[in-house]
Amino acid sequence: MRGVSKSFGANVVYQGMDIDVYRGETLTILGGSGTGKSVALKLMIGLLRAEEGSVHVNGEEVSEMGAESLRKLRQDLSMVFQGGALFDSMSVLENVGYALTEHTQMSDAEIRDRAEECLEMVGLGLSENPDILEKFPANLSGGMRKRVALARSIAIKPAVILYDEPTTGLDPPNCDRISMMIRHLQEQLSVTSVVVTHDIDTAFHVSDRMAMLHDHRFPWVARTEDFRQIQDEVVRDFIVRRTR
Amino acid sequence: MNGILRRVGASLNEFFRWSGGLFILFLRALWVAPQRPIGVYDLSYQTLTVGIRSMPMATLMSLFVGMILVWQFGEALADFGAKQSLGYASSLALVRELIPALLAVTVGSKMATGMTAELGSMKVTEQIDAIASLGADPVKKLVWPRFFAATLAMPLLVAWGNIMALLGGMFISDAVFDVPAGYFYETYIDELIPIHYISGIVKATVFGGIAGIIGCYQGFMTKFGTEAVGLATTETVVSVSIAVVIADFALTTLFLPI
Repeated sequence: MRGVSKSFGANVVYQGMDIDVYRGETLTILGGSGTGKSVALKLMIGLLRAEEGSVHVNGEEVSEMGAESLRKLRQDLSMVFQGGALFDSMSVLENVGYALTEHTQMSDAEIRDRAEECLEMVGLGLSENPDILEKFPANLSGGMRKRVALARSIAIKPAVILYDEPTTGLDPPNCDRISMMIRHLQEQLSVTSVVVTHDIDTAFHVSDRMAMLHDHRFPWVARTEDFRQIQDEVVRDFIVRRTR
Repeated sequence: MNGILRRVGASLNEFFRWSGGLFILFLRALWVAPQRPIGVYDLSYQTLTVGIRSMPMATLMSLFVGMILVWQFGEALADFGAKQSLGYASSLALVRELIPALLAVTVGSKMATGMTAELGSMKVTEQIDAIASLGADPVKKLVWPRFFAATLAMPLLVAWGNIMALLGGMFISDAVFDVPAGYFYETYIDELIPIHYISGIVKATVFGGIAGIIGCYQGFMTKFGTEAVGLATTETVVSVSIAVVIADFALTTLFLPI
């Protein structure tokens, strides 16, 4: 993203913001609540359009893409939403298989097999959860919902996964489980990951690089080990307060 | 004075912004309609859901409106010794105006608020964004089936409502005014010509479309927070009622000279 500006009415989120995401890495975006971290993800996947500047994914300008190009882009880029955003009226099987139904000619049996495979990857295998495919989101716990959302996002084998607050609202064991899963998926599937979070423990656990949003920009972007060493007061405050 | 003008200007601005957004959503819904996949399942599911859920209310409303109107007309006609004309007098008002308009305001508002609440909740929980991020078009997946369902279900409900109103009228005519139900039926039907049915059905189709598109638009425009869903549904009832009355006036102006 280069020189990106985005605001909602009088609320300025980004002003001349620059940031790069490299293929195969996990970049974590840190920042306080309500500062607009998630907006960066929505700009990347074309759910929002920048008012100024450019957002390039694989060399193509997202804000200039038409419906068909966006559709193709979203086969490569997948997003895990904060609350999971599972479709209430659909079963777990239909949720996980949604993108496959939309984008592929796979048969119902093939979609079912792929859904089982993805659920296995996120620790919701049929051996331990025999009736998971038929369950509806309302019957799942918060942690399970996030994992099903994760399974849905990897079903189409995307090259990039965008995670919006993947551990928010979860208890510590579930936070750790999700963090390990993000790391595991990156290693297993070699996906590029962008994680938005204000949970510093998750950030240190999953990141190759970290960026912190401050004053409508990313003034601090560094490799994880270097990020720990940043002495700026704003960054220190953020890290120390979160780990105390 | 300046303050009043500013407020009027702001309200007009808001109205045009809302109408423009609504019209754009309407055009987008029509644009995506023929695109593949057609979504036969979504269309039939929505039509059946919207239609069947509205049947009890449409039945009750129409039956009672038919009975009330015939009773009122009957009292007036009896004073002139003209109660035999009960069927003639009530048929036009019911078929051309009352059943389509009343069902649009009641059943149509119910349909629209249901859509607003459902889509508004989806918006708040980011399910609409999730649909888009998975490469599907939310207008195609969510708006078009609901708009189609409301547009198709409303004339069918009005046709059903006409039968119920006729039955209600027959009952009151026979039980209260001693005008035989069979005679009431014959005079009722005798008064009507095809254009009367057509105008009622055209009105119902337009009202259904209005309810469908407003319901979806309000759902898509829902702001964040659970309170916003309640606010959006309330606004939907007001918007549908006003839009239906205005459209009714326009269509009456169109059909009456025919």
